[in-house]
Amino acid sequence: MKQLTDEFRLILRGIRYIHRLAPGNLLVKLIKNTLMAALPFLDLYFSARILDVLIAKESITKAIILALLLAVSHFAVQLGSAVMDIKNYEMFNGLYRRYNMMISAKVMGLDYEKVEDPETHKAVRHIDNAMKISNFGLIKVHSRIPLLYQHLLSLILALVFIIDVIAKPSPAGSVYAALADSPWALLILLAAIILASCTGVVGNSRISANTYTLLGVFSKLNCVYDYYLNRYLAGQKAGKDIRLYEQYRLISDELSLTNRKSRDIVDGINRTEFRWGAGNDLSAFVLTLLSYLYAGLKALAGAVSIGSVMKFSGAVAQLGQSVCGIVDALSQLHANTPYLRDFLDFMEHESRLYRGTLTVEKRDDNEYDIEFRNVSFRYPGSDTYALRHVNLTFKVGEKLAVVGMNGSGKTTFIKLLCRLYDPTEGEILLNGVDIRKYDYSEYLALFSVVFQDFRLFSFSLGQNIAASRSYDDARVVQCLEKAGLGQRFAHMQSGTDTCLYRDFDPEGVEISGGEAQKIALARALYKDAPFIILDEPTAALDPVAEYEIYERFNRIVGDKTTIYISHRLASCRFCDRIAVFDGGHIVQHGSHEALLAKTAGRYYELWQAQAQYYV
Amino acid sequence: MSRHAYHFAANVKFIFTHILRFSPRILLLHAWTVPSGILVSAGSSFFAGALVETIRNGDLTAMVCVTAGFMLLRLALNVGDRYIQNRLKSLNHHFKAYFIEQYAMKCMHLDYELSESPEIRDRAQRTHNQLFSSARKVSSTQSMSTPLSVDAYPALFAAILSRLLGITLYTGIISILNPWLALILLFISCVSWFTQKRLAESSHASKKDAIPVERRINYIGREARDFAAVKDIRLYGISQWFHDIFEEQFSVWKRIMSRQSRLKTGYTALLEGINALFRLAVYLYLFASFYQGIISVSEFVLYLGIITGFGTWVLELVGSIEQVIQVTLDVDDIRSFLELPVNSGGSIEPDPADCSIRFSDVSYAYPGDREHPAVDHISFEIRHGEKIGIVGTNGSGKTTLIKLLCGLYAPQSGTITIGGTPLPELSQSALRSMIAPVFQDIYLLPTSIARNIALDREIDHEKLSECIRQAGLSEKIASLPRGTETTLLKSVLDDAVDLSGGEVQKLALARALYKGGSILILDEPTAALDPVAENRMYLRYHELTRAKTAVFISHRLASTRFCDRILCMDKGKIVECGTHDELMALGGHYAQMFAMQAQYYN
Repeated sequence: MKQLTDEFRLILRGIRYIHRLAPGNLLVKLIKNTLMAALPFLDLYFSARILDVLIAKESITKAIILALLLAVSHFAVQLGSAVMDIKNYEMFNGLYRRYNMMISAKVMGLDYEKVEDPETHKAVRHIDNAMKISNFGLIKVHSRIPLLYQHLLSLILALVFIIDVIAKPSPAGSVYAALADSPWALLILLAAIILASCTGVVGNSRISANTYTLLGVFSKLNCVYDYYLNRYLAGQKAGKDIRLYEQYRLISDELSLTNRKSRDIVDGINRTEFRWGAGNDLSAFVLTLLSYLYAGLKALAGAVSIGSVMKFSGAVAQLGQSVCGIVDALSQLHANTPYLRDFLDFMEHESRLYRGTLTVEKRDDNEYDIEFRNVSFRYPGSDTYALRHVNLTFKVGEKLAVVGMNGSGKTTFIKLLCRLYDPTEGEILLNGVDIRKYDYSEYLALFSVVFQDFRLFSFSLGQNIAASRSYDDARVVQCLEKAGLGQRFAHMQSGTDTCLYRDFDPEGVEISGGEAQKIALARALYKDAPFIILDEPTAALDPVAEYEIYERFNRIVGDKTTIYISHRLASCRFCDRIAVFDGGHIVQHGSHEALLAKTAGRYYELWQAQAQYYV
Repeated sequence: MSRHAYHFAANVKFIFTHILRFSPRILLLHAWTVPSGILVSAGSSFFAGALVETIRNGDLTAMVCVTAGFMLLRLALNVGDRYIQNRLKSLNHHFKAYFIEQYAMKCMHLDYELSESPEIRDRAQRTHNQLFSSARKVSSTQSMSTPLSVDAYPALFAAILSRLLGITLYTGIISILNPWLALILLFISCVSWFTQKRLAESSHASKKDAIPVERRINYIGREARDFAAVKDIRLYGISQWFHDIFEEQFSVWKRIMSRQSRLKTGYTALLEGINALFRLAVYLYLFASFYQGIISVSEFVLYLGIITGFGTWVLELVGSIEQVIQVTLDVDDIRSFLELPVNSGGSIEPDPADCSIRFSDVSYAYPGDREHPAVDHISFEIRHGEKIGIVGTNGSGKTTLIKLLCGLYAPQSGTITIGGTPLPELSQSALRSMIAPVFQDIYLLPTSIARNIALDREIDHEKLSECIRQAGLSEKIASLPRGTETTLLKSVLDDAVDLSGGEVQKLALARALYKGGSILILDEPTAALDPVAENRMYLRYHELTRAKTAVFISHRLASTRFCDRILCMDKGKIVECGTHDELMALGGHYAQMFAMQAQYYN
């Protein structure tokens, strides 16, 4: 019982989401479903009446009026439901798109800790997969709740029609009347109805139970299948490796293995469906046969008209359908519960990151200083420290180089500074105040970062650099020139309106890795934040382009506080200070000259590893 | 129209050939659906008439017999039909999967150069869309557009045949009553056919308008949901930008949709109106016949059923024909991609002991930019076992040169030979087995590390661990609880891990070593490595390339010192060639670039 109320509550929450995404959509569907439920009974009613008029040889005018009523009301209901259907199609498509965007927006706003958590990836994947396979999740509520309502309404109407016939007493005397009005007749009919409903219920629950276990397996298979077909092959980028490593052997193996498994699943589902479907056919056969015979007897006994026989049998058939429909809708909603819960849990996951309220002082002189005070950090779920007892201060205008081996904690250091994570121990201070106390978005506004794995998007160059719909054209051009993309930009026909990549605009430009890096740098410059952080900004550049960046480094970053991470130690030459990371610690710290003088130090080792080849 | 007909015939042949290859049972099952549909429909009309008759006559036995007889017939047909539809559901699913495999194989076997061309990519994309109807899923909730696909032809043909037979039969029955009636009915049906056709056309047109808008909306949704982009999104406030674009595109999309809705509403009203008039006319005609005493009540019921059935069938026939036209367009897309030729190369097997490479006057320009060849009249030779370095600025043609060497591109002029044999004459698979490349962009598969390296189900574990050691990946693998059985790609598999950029690069190197071709090609293999790992790789370079011809591309000029010879490229040409010392002495392009890098280390 508790489980039922829980499910009910979940569905209500789902309905609230649907309402928010597409206000009025459910109402439109309810109107449509009301009309759909009424339509067969409307037809049954009028055709029965017409038949009776003809049999009784009543006046032709009466028959014509009835036919006219039938045609008009059928037209009105049919048109009404078609219009609602069209409206629903439009609204539902909108809902579907907003629903997708809502999940994406949620991902964009997640605490960064969650972003890197495999559990979150899994959750989003499950939501997407459930949706792909059979619209499970929120959309299921949208489709099944109105359907449930329709079948309930249809059930009530069917019962009204049926009882109307049963309740008519037969004129006593004939043998037919005795048969039709004997309690046995009713009992047998009732038994057939119950039999048909039971086969429906049991069959349906068997099918769903079977289907949903198998769908779970299917969803996992689908992930791999989907990756190969929709990303690996569709992207075309892996094409070189696919051919030269003859990867098609392994990939086609994997695909046919997945295919074989999903074949078995589909066959299994279909076999169960057939077995119970045939059972349903059989019980429906018994039920319709009995309903015709019963109504026929009543008609022979003179209790009801021949029209009513048609009406009655039609209503019984509708009854059977609506019972099946109700069971199906309920079992689908029940099966949907875990998927709906996944979705709601994900959407209603609360941010745990502390978001302070202190405003960051807007300083024209960019007088900011940062201090790491005994900072240690462990990634969630890990028991080794990625950073351990890090102490570091840097003042405004300083250029700090961060060097170290892969995995020494450099990137983690940046992530803490940008508040993508909060330290496990210790604190980071901005102008003497713990950074957690500042308003989150104001704090983030202090940093322009070019990450190693930066992203550009298939929109116009100007929008990419401003990271916004509107942008200051002159400033964009200025930043592009500073970043060293001036020459290429001069060749772009539509200036800052030029689209990156050809996804949407056939006139778009394809850009190389080096150019992309320069655009990312321009974006950082456009943001014009007091801190600028560059993580391997020259990895994809050739020696000449790299040299240009180095040469103009001071002009590019101006008097901003800069943190420069690079495997190319040459870049340390123009930084004021260097912090050497090793195993999560800052092992050395000082100017290039000072560090190079310590020949036993880590820095000397790293430097020599590269410099030896240039001597 | 004649072109249409041509496509139609070819498409039908194409699909049926595949069906016969896959499972001819599909056709047999469909054939059975032809009579069963007619029997059920005709049966119920006759039954209704007979039932009325027996009750009016007060004949209980006859009533029971008629009812039981018809119900039994219907039961048998229903169960049979259910069985067939059920089998077809399975078979169609498998048939689609079979087509998806064909598509995947074509994607992987197609000439690389062809696969990069926008036109072919477009075809591939359309085929992909046809086969994965998920894009249509949303629209399939609407009754008007049934999902169509490769499995649609037989079902549609069976439906058309069954409707045609049914219509013929019913025309015969109606003609007994009045031959003119059948003709008038046909005419009315034609009117609604045209209305429906117009509706389909106009909704198709506005769907086309919506496609680019929908693509943008989907793009934003996808990018925003990509966890790897979140850092940038957060720090640059990109979510607001995306939100703005979404709202803008969404309102454009909504305008298109409501225009479509208005159109549809108009047509639907027209269609329903015609329908209502048709119904009314049928009733009136039958009333007249009845009151004139031409037909009895039970005949009235019979004819009512038959005429209504006739109308339904004509509409269904029209719908099926419309769908055949639609499917033909869809199959055009699929066929134009799946029937692309695959080049399997020549027949000469190369001699692994002679991997000398020669480029003679080779030029190559990309399709979009024929004016500026990426590789411009290049000639050079690499001796068997030689280690060559290639340096040059971005866009100087290094990577294109490599792609030419791998046979991924065919030169527009000049010839490339390996061991004296021109590339086109070498057997494709033999050429591919000779070359082990590490490209700049590396893509991993959602499977174990071992399989990612071996790229095969059969794994030689000894060789595997040796290659892992040589690539410098042993430490990382030792740190993983499941070692080489660890699966990769967190975004696809539940308990997988993701590797860092440097580790991915090492894995790609291990892959190349495991393959063990006699020509090793390394394109910027140290870009993501730290100085120590980079240095270690240089020191191991001779071990890695022992007994192999090696080509090494790098922006770090330090690395090219290990090469026997260095080719320095600029604007698609080889401008300098020689050993490090020779090129330094020359004082040209190479020396200049070297000085640029070296100055910071002095």
